[in-house]
Amino acid sequence: MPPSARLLPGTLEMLILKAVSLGPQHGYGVLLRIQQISGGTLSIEQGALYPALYRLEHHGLLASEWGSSENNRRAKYYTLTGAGRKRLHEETEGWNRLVSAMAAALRARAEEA
Amino acid sequence: MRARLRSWLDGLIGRSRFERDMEEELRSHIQIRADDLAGRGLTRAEAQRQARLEFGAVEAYKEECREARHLRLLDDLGGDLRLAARSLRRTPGFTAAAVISLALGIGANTAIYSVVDAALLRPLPYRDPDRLVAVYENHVIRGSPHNNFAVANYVDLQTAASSLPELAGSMPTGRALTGVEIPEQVSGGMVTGNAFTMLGTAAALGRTLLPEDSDPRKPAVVLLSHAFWTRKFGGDPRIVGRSLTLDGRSFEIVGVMPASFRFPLAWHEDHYWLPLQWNARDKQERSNHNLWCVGRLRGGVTAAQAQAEASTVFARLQKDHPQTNDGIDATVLPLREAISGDARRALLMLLGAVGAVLLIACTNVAGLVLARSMARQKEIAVRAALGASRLRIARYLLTETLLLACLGGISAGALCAWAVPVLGTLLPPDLLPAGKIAMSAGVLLFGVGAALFTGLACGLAPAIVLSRGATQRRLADASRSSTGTAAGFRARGVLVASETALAVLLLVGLGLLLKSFWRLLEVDPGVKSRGVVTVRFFLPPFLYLEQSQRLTFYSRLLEQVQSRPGVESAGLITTLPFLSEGGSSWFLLEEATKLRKEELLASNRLVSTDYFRTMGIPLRRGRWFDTHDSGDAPLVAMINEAMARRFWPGGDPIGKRFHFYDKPSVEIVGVVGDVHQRGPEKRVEPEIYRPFAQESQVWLAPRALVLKTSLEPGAAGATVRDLIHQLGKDVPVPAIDPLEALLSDTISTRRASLLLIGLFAGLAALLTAVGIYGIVAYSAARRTRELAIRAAIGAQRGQLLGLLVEKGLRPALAGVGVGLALSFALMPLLESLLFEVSTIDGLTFACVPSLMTALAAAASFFPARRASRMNPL
Repeated sequence: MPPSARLLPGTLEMLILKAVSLGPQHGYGVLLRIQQISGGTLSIEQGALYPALYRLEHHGLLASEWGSSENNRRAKYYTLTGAGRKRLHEETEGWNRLVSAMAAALRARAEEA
Repeated sequence: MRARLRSWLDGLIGRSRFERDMEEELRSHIQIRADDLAGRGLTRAEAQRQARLEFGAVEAYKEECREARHLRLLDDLGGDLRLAARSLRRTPGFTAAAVISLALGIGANTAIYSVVDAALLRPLPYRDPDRLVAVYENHVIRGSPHNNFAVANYVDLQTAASSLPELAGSMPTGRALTGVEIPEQVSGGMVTGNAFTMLGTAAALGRTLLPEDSDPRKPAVVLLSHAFWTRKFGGDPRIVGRSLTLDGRSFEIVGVMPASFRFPLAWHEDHYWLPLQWNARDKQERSNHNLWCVGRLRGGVTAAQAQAEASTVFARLQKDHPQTNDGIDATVLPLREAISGDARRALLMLLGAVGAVLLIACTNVAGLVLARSMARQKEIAVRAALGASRLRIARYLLTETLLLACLGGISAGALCAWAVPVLGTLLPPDLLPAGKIAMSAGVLLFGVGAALFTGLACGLAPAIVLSRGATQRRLADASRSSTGTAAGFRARGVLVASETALAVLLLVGLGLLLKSFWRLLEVDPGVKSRGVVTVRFFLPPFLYLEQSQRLTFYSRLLEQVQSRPGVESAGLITTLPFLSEGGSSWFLLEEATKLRKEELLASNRLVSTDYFRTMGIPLRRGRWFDTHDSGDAPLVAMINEAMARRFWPGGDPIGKRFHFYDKPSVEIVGVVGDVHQRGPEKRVEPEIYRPFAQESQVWLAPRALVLKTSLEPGAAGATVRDLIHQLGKDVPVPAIDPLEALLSDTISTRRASLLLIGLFAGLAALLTAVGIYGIVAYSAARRTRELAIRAAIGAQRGQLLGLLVEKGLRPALAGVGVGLALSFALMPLLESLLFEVSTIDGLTFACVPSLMTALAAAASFFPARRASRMNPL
């Protein structure tokens, strides 16, 4: 696997929401999609995905049902709920604000301070 | 929120499905990944291994998933409980000791609390009881704030006081129930017409008394108590409308009250209630004080405001009627306070005492749990090292003690179910306005609260001690098996010291009460009660209206009783001593005196010639009554020493004269010894005795016979009862008692509370001794190796003994010191419960510490001796 950036706490949930927002996925699919979206820079132990999925489902942001995978294995598919969609939107905005603020702060030079 | 709850509930209910799903989902993930890897050219086995490796610790993630659904907590709790139950089962000795301590502590608390609940907390069984007040005449000069009302004063207050729109009065009555097989005297109440509407308790059958029933022109009606209705009429549901014959007069029964009803402030059990019917002359009466008053405050008015208004009214009455009302004010008290009165303090003291017992029990259990936890310290340290959080360990310890507390609580419930009825029989009935003591919801809650408090209190101490300090040090400490941790010992020392202090406090309280009781027993009651039997009887006024009829009855009765074999002497008196019965009368002295006339009050009784000889009351001055003091002879009286001292201090009362109000003059011919009429605790009040033939008022007519006999009391009483029934078949004989029993009843409440406090203090001392024994035995067990080494290198057995005894004795001595200081500070609270004993009584304050020290020494000595005798090899 390529060298990976450390995952900030809370961002895994965001990435999962983003991944699922692109279409229903089972756990492994979510994982692949996260790697795909992040250009392979974010990596987690595969099992760590599940507690996050369960937490999101517990909070009503994801829904799940059993289906079958491309290679005919039974798998649980996750979809985004309305609340999940709303939360993803909020989180994305918050994240963008944070990132631009951080970027501005890090660009700052001594004479501007 | 709803989603969360649903997901949690789904998880909870479909627990096994949840587990299955999770299992399958994770497995399917690994399979799909393995398919992928295999597709990239790995062998199937290689792909499987790689996929599993990449997934990580499956079990740990499963646990996290469960946690994500909040199912962990439940798992842990179940696990903790199972663990705790298993470890308690493994140590039955420890478990039994702890559960018994707690059962006694919690049980005693719940039992006493149920009494307090019945006596002080439960609402009185009347409508809107918080607005009810007891109203008394306050006789300022005699320093007596709680007196009955004179009828005219009642009428005036009722008319004038707007803060007391409903003011009701009642007076006790005793009437002969005739027209039945065995005539009996039945006690009841005569009440003002507004009494029942004011109280607002509905009748169980028919109606209560109404204001119009006090109209003398209306037919005479009566309201029955539930008990009387059941006993006399077998609970006949069609009783309303039938008639009841009392004192030869027929009353129409209008209703029956519910079983729980008691008329407020009634001293005796009321079997029926009659409306008071006053004529114009009755309403002028200001010198006869015989009406108990209860009132209802107008909405928004406080008892203090009513008090102020009543005082204004009485101030006006003092001006308008100086002859009768001089120095008379009013007292207004919330009814609850008036009912509980002195008992409040005694009950609160008992509650304090059992509270202390519970604290001691908790301390003991905390000590036990601590000792045990320290023995398991290695286990706990290992758990901590393996990553169990401090919270997790504390929770594990807490679960164990909570389980203990629950077991203790259940045993306590059983104990209470047995003890509460026993307590009920020990306490005077007028203390319990709401009827029986019951295990109410409040009591139950209190018990559960006490058990939980106990569990937390016991569990927290060890949890705190053990979670202190770094894991490493704990591991090191635990493996050093010679002396145990210093922190643990300090904690146990503090526990032993605190329980010793509490036990000292209780024992000092017990000592003071015990000494008071002893002092009471030492009080000479003024009679020689051995071999004296009392028989109360009642001449129904409608049958014995004329004085001559009564005199004939009395002389025949005395004659026949005295002629019986085995009867030494017999006498008659208006009312017996020790029963708080009988009235007092004001009189006027026929000489110049500095005393105000309100002070000239004395108990007024009629006796037969031989009364004093029968009761063993000595003559101090002058002469006895004799046969010459007949109805037509000059009027004479004997007085008691208290009266002689009060009204003729230093002088000679013989030959002095007085008279009652508008009655003829009476000469004092003798002085007799004081009798503690109202029990040994009460001061002896002035008394006047007169020959029964010289007074014709019915209310003073003798109602009791006393006889000194060598016969067995029951047999002697039965003989007299038969004689009475031969002389008059309609004469009720309500009670036959040995005089000793009447005397001992005067201190029965005190005896009951002494018994209880003795029980609790004994329990406290015992539990403390067990605690001290525990710490020394434990210390000895922990130090076996050290002691053996010491013995091997030549330490004498005495030295080893000293070393161990000190472990128990030192904290105990500290506790004794603290306990004494607490006692000095707290005992003044008991003052009103003590009798002629100082709250810092020297004897008690010297004995208790010595006793407690001796107990601590003994409790330390035995386990220490056993340990020091061990063979070092």
